[in-house]
Amino acid sequence: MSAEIFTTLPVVLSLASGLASLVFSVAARRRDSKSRMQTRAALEEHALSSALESDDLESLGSYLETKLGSVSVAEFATDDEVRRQVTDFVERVSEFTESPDREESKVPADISRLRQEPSEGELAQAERMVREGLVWNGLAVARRTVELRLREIALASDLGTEKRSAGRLLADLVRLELVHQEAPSYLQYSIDVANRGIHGEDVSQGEALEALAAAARGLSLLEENTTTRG
Amino acid sequence: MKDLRLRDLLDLASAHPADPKQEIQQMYKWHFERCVTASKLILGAAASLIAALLIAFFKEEFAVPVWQIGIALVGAIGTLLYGAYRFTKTRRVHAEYIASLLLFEQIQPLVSFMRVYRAMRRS
Repeated sequence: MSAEIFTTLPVVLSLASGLASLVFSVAARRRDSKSRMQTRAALEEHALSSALESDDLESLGSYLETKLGSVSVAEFATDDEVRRQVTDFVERVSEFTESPDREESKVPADISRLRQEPSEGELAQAERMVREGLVWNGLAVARRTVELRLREIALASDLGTEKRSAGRLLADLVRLELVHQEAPSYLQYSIDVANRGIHGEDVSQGEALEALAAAARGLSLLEENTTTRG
Repeated sequence: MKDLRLRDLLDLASAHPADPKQEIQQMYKWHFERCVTASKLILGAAASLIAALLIAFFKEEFAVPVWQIGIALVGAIGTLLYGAYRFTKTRRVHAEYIASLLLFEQIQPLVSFMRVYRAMRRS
């Protein structure tokens, strides 16, 4: 009996180990396949665009943490296409949350008075968000509003459609004297505060509201400029 | 290291370690040692089983039919091949290590933003 065990045991163990190897291989292949599907979903253009255009801290943060964050380093290392896309996506999110690398602009002298004036449209929505404690969201909406208006002016002046940050766009328009002379100081201040907040630095509710007031004043000066030129 | 993901690198960056490259290097060192040890165990076990089967076969000591021995041998060889496959995969560890370093540098601008996001989630 004991001799039989010594001859049947290797047979049983071999069968068991062969089976286990097969199961582990299949499980590993399925895990890889699931990981590749997750990566493909994370690197879909519309997923990133929606997150960037949402002006919502929760949406962008959730996208970074759960979608882009799920990309495995192994795939990044072995798949050229994944590497290219991840690099591109990380760069775009980094640009969106860019750190202000310039000297901070001064607070406009009449900011206290400006804060008393009611805001309209998108900036009114931004103000509501800031007052509700959603400072990041409000600043993101304000920055986008300013950026869109500046881009309209750039397009109308045939300045090209290349993607530029709000700050860079304003600098180009000032250089070409395409904006009202007082508008840049207000707009630059609002862009600087918005950039700081979006980047993750501490911006108080009061500062954010000042930035919104400055943005409103800057945009209304741009409108005057457009009306005068028209 | 299939389980290492971009969010893990974000977590590492957020922790502000004194020498992040050293931390990443250590992670991959552990991973490499684990992979090689696992491969050796599997290869060693497979070799032992094949040796036991062949010895018993040539000494005609089996109490089971020959076809079952054949299947068992296939199982053992399959295990050997699995062990060899896992061993060859360890050659990719250095590429993953370099990719981790590259990705870690690329995500630095996102760390401040993630800090704000996570603080918001906690509140």
